[in-house]
Order: sequence, then structure tokens, then C-alpha cells
Amino acid sequence: MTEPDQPEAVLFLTAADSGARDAAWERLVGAYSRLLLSVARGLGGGHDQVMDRYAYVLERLHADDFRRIRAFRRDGSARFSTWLVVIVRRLCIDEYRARFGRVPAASSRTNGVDQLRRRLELGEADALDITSIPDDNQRPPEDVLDGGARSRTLSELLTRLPPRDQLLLQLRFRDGLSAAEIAGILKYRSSFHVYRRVQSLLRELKTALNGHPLFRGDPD
Amino acid sequence: MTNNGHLMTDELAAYLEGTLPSDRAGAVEAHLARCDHCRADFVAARRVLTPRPSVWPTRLLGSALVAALLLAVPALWSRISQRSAPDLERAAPPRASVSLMIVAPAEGARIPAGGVRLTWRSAGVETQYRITVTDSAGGRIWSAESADTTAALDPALTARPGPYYWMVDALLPDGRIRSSGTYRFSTAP
Repeated sequence: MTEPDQPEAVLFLTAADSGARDAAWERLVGAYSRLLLSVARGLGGGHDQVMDRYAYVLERLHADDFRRIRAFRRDGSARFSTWLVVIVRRLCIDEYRARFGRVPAASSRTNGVDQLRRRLELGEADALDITSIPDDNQRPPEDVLDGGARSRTLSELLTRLPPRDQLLLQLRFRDGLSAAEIAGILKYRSSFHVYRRVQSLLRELKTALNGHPLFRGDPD
Repeated sequence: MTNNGHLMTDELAAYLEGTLPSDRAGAVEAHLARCDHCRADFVAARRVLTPRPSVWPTRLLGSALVAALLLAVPALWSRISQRSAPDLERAAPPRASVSLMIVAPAEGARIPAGGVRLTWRSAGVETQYRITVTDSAGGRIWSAESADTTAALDPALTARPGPYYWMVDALLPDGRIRSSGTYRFSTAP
């Protein structure tokens, strides 16, 4: 059983009725407002926009006698603060959608597999900045067609990797996150461990791709 | 998994905490690898929940430097106090370069021993402050971290009359630090 990590959360979650919850609400907001604001800032925008988003989140959390917060299971496997961050992030996305009609793209890169495939074609030097990879639009049509087939094959190969490695490659090549940030997100010991794992996976994928019946004998 | 094909809040929160059994964690990772929305939620949540790289080791070095400076302050002060007013003005630390504003106690203030409340101006929302109080020998008598812009000292800490020094460092959300510089106050019984 994971206990909520602030007494204000315990007070709120153990409130016997709606009146008690209302009484505990202000203290709950006081205890977690910094966390809520951090999440609200995550979607960008100026001060007013962030405060509007924050107000929306508070309103949604308060709605229907705090239905969303009451869904937190105290016998679950996450602390209240972690759970709250996830639910508030999702409310912030709702607010963003309501206002702008779309969610900001996690990355400007539309196809992680293409990025990865071009990386493999160029060599494995992960130190190479991903933005320096040439655009397919500037390549001869036959190369692009071949590139498409290799990307499809690569997609298949990727699904055979362990899920954690798939996630690592998506964060690196689709979302364009730095090795240092991935280390923090996926709890690697350092960015060097991320680099090493990425290099190892790229070698593995390159070997598998070049050994694939469709491309056997192709120059790198 | 929810009925709209995304991870459930409980599931993602548990994965963030690392408390999922390995088979379920693998399923979550596989989903995160193919779902841009859930992966964006995951990355955003991790960014909020993971503390920024600590800057305290650097700050400890800074504190040691401050302590060393404070050791020299009594001697310097006695020399400065013998100067004329214009000299003193020229010798005063350049307050214009200090970016975190102190409200009270101001430099040189004398206050009753039991009523020391430290107050400073806010450096913006989501800022964490580290407050340090030292005695005249540079020994740290109290230190705390707070999100508030005021802190009351336990009367016992400043019961002994004599000069004390205090400073506040603001740790800004972007990782930068703004410092108040060091201020002197003395307590009277």
C-alpha cells in the first residue's frame, strides 16, 4: 500500500462526506499548488495562459464532488503526487484542446523510423546531430522508394526489440530528446549509458536490416 | 488500458514510480513506444517529478566562501566603522548587483532577540529559497529551505546579543540562483 505523500492529501482522501471534502480542499490545493502549476507550465504559454489552465484544472478537479480525485486508490501502487501529476497533465491537455483544437506536437519530426533508418544509412555515430540528417525530399526518387521499403522493414525489426529499447529509440529519434534527458526519464545511470545502449541497438538493427532478404547485398 | 486506447492514470503513475511488476511494466513500455500521446504524458510527468540536477554542491562551495568572508567581516567592520561617512558609502557592498531584495532585517538593524523574522522579496512563483544565518565567527547557526518569503528564527538561536549575518539564495525554476548577499543584524536582550 502506498500512502499519499502529504498529510493534506490524507485528510482529503479520508474525508467522510462532501462537506468534509470541501473543507479539506483548500488545504489540498495549498499543498499541491506548486506541483499543479509546474504541470500547467509544461504546455507552454504566457503567465495568463498558464493561470487559465491552472484555474481550469482546479475547476475540473472540484467538479462532481471531486469525482476525479476520489478515483485515486490509496491501496494502489503510486503515490498521490505522482498520480495527481498524470491526471492534471491530462486535464491540461483537455484545456489546450478546448482552446486551440489540437495538442502541441511532441516533436516536429513526423516519422521516427525514417529518422532512424537514415541514421543507420549514414553510420552509427550517435554524436552526429540528428538535425544534420538530410531530408528525403532532396534525394533521387529511386532512393526515396528504396528508403520507404527499408523504413517498413525497420519498423518490423523494431517491434522485435524489447519494449524498453523500443521506447528508448522513440525518445531519441522520434521525440529528439537528448541522451542526458533520456537518462533522467528512463532512469539510466548516465547519458553515456544511453549512448552506449543506442549505439548497440543501432549496430544490431543495421546488421539485421542488411541481412534481411530484401536488402542483402545492398551497399550500406 | 482505457477504452480510448491510452494508458490508465493508475497504470502510468505506477510505471512512473517503478512499482509495476515487470510484465506489466513491459506492456506499458511497449504502449509508450507506439503511442505519442501517452509518451508525451509520460515525459511531461517525469520532467515535473524528477528534481532538476542539484546545484547544492556548487552552492556548498559558495557557502564555504561566504563563511570564510564572514570570518573576516568583524575585523573589516571595525576598520570600516572608523572611517568617515563618505568613505563608508564607498566601502559598502554594491547593492545594485544584488538581485534578491531583502526586506528585513536590513543591514545593521538592531532588533529584540526574541523577535527575529527574516523577510525578503519574492523572486517569482515556483522559487525555492535557502536561508542561512551565521554568527559573527561565520559558524552557521541555522539554515532552511522554504518556498515562503519569510521565516521566523527560534528565539533561542539569537538569544546571545551580538552581530549575526544572514543571506537568502533563490533557486529559480530554470536552475539559476539569485542571491541576496550577506546582511548583518544584531539582537538586543
